[in-house]
Amino acid sequence: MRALVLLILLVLELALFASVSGADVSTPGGIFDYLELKFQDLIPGLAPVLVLSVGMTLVLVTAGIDLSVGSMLALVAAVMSCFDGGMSFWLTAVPLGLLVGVGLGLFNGALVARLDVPPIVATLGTMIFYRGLCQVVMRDAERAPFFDVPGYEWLGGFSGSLVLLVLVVGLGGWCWSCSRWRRELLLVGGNRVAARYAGVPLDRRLLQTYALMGALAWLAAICFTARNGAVNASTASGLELKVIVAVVLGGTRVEGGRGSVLGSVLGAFLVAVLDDGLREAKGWSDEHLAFEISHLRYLLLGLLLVAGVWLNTRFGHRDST
Amino acid sequence: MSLRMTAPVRRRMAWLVAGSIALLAVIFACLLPGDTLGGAVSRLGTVLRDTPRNMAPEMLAAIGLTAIIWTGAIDLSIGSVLAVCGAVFAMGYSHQAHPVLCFAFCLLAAGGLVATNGLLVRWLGIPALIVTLAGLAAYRGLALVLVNVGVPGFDGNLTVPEEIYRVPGRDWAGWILLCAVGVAIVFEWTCRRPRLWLALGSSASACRLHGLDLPRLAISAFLFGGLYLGLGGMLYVSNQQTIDPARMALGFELSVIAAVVLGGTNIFGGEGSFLGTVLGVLFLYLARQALIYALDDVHARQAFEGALILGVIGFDCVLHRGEHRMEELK
Repeated sequence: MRALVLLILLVLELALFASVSGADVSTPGGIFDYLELKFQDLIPGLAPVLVLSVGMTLVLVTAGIDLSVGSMLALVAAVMSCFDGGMSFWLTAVPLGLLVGVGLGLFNGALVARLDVPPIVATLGTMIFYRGLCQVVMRDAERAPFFDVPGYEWLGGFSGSLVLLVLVVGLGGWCWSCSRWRRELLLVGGNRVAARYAGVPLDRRLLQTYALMGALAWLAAICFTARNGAVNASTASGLELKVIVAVVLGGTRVEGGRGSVLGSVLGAFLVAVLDDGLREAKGWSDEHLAFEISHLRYLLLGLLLVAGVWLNTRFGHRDST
Repeated sequence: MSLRMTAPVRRRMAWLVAGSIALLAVIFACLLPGDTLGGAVSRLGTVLRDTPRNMAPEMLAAIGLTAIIWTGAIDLSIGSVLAVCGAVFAMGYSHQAHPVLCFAFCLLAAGGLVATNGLLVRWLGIPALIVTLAGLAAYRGLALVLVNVGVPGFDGNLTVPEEIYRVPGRDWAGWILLCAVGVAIVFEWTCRRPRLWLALGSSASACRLHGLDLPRLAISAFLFGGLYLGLGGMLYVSNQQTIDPARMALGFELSVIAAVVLGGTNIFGGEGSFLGTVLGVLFLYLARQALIYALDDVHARQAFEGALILGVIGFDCVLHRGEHRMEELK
């Protein structure tokens, strides 16, 4: 039911922006062409948010939250940018980036699981800390070695992003939905005391979840740098908000115990279509509105979030986790 | 006083007092090498004199947020609410409204928006985290739309050269802060309402069984928060020479939440004190000042600030991990 509500919202959004942008959607062929173009444009830009949404869903399911995802992405990208482009980049920078990502995630996990710091507080602190480390690494510079790496740019294109997304969201999501690990995480988020009594290794599960979030931040950093080609100290600032909005919009409970990767993916698409649609509707808004339509983006994002969550609370109780 | 504060809050406050004194010593030690003893004392005096004015908006917002967090809610939209304050102030200024009217607009805008958050939480039955996360985005958009529609010829920012429009933020900030903090602490120590907020955050079901009107209690906390954020917003906006709603108070909510948590308030509600919050804001402000004097490398300051927040909270949590586990299993 929840997925259906999100799908209907997505179709409505696409229909609204198609009519405003002046695209020819009067015939089935026109609709197909419009959707093909739209998704070819959307997927590469959306890849980092989609990858992070998968990790954030898992974190929220455990009744946690990770506010440091944007800073982790930036720090991993900054560390990778310290290496020269060339074939050796694949053997040095990329594995080191993965190590850094997993290390940052493990640090978050250790704060939450080992020291019992509330996740929102722990990751708020690490968000500031990691961004500070990113500034230490980058200074005021912008580095762009990524397009000199053979085959790297392909990952930022439509086909490369699609392959990565199919692997992470499709295959990963499918494995997750079939696994015992998922049930244990749902139990950890739903009732921590029950999880402990049931013999779930709580600390280990939390550490694994946050470490996975770090690994996905590394993958998102690859998607981001492969598309944009450059990184600086303020890269991906505010990305955490987009990711959390997408995941919550997708029906994952912030209190934990319920969440779906499919819902998060649909939520991310809703946010991205809104963003892109408002950009396309600029010509229409210049004629009809007294202000720039891009300013409505934030207003509509907020309304979409409240409306989505309200609909989920109204109709979501019929779904199983 | 001791009845209102739990042992962890008192302990955290003791940490913060000791930490603030240590930070003052660090600042003094940094001032000493380039100056005589008298000169260093005089410069330290200047740092301390500017302290109330500089930290007034953050401290007032933190006190308001503390009341909201006590009830088990949160408000992530406070930075965007300040942007709306800036937008209505700019609208008033551009239409040559009297300064007092502009300040009143700020107060009303902040109070109204925070109260709206409370009402939405009540009416829609959605967690405060979600409503205010939506507010974080929506109010920033609202601020941008307001300045574009309401300020003729707006081109991204508006400069306010007249000193009269900056009196509260520049000249009265310390006094307003002193009065507001005093009122909040007296309110906490003498009135029943703050205790009920703490009770609501501690156990909503116990409060319901006791016959308390929970929605009204929660909304009163949001109203209190709105009033203090309105005051903070007025001081923040009137201390700015240029009003730029797109970038105004970006990330403000994070430093305020960090200060509140640092002050010993439990992020899930039911525990904390206004005095702890005041000390938390003071500690963070002094830490930033100490980093300015101690570190030549501007890029490393944010990393040290984050490490300091994590260090204080992490150390406190690790000391009481055993107690926390036992409480969880009871």
